[in-house]
Amino acid sequence: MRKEYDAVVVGAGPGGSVAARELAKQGFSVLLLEKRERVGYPVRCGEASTTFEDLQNFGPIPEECIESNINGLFVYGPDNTKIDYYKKNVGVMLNREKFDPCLAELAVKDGAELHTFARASAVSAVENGKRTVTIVTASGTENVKTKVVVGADGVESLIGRMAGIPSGQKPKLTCCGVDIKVEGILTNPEYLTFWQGHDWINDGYIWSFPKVRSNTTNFGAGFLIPSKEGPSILEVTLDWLQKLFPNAKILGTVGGVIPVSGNLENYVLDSLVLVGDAAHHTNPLTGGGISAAMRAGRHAAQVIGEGLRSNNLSSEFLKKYESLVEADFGKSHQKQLKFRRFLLEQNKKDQVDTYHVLNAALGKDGKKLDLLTHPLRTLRVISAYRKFK
Amino acid sequence: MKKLVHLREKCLECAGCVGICPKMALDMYGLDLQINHENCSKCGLCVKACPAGALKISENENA
Ligand SMILES: Cc1cc2nc3c(=O)[nH]c(=O)nc-3n(C[C@H](O)[C@H](O)[C@H](O)COP(=O)(O)OP(=O)(O)OC[C@H]3O[C@@H](n4cnc5c(N)ncnc54)[C@H](O)[C@@H]3O)c2cc1C
Repeated sequence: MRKEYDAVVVGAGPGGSVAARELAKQGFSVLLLEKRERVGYPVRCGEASTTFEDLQNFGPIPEECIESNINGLFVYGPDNTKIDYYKKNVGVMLNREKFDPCLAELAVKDGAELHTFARASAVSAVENGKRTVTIVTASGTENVKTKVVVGADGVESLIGRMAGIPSGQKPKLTCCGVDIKVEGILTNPEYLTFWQGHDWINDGYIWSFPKVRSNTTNFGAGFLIPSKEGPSILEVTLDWLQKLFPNAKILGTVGGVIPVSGNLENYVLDSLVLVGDAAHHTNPLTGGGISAAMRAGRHAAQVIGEGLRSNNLSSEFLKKYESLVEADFGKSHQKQLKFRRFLLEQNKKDQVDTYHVLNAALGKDGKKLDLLTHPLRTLRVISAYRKFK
Repeated sequence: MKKLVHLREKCLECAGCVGICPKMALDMYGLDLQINHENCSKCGLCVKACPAGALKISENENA
């Protein structure tokens, strides 16, 4: 490790690795820190993501990182409603045990210096245009100076909080989840399958995601943190697995917490930006955050690069990064957040109506005509959504 | 005296509790959860958020 770098990136998840690589590509010295021993391990994720083409924008991503191609979403709703949404190549299932290290390797190839088992334990205030990051490794503690810190430390989001951004998770706007790896393919191998609503889990959903290459299924669930203590989400999910697939053979279990608040209002300071889960960049409807973290990582590197070249890493300047993110996915995440709140606050009857309307509009077997033959239902749902604040 | 207790055998090592703790009293070092008992306000948020039920507030120091 050197004493000084242009940029220090904390966390080698998808957000951090992309940011580090894009900065290194511009010729800056970049230190990428990962506190775990192995990048991406253990995986804490359902591993569903965007299209292969999209991912290649951050590649080259080798085929073996891709578990299956996804051509649709199937949602079981309340009262036997369902949505069968078909869209060819709508996304892929990843193998993040391979994908995350692949992104980190690309960063290294392009010049970033990666240290695993290296934990950023403190970030100083700005002094003479630089911050000092304290790093704990197996061999001791080191202090490194840098012109800019990229906090890509995921849901733990301690870097932001150490520097003064209230980036911690808010109880009502956070999901807790588990993902259980099960042998074989449990549901349609081309589809992501979900169960949501009053008959299932209302304040979240259950998922079954097929990993065809390794012949396993990610079966999991995520729901908003309950206001009272009760059975853990692991117990609830195991119950559902038993009910839906009594013969399922469990290979392993991971857990995690997902920010579903929509992007933080502010996530830059002088000489510091947050990226990915640390900035709550996760999609507030689906809980998906892999692709958002990568996109944010790239936007951050672009603006930081300009800042390093013009010697301006003030928060005013770095706000440009926030604007890029807002335009890219911030606004759409706000809409998704509104839809989630709308759906979860509905009583069962209204929710059933919403599912009927959604399937008529989007479903493969849905008949658009249904929207007209049940005009009152259609209008009720649309106007309720419009009025919803 | 109430105290936050980490049940290691149930823990999935996801570090979700670290992000939810409003007092920054938790941190994950490798497989170990470090609890700063002085900062912990025993609010129980991490207990509700833990996906695996691996945290509890015990009434008794030795529980
Ligand atoms: C159960 C579950 C299921 C999910 N399913 C999906 C899904 O199907 N699709 C999807 O798109 N998203 C899913 N997500 C969300 C997705 O995992 C995250 O949005 C994504 O990983 C965010 O990427 P990131 O780079 O911001 O952070 P992470 O991937 O969390 O990376 C952060 C990294 O920083 C490291 N770190 C933390 N603190 C420090 C420190 N102080 N010093 C050094 N390193 C540090 C961590 O060890 C970690 O490796 C799921 C999440 C959970 C919990």
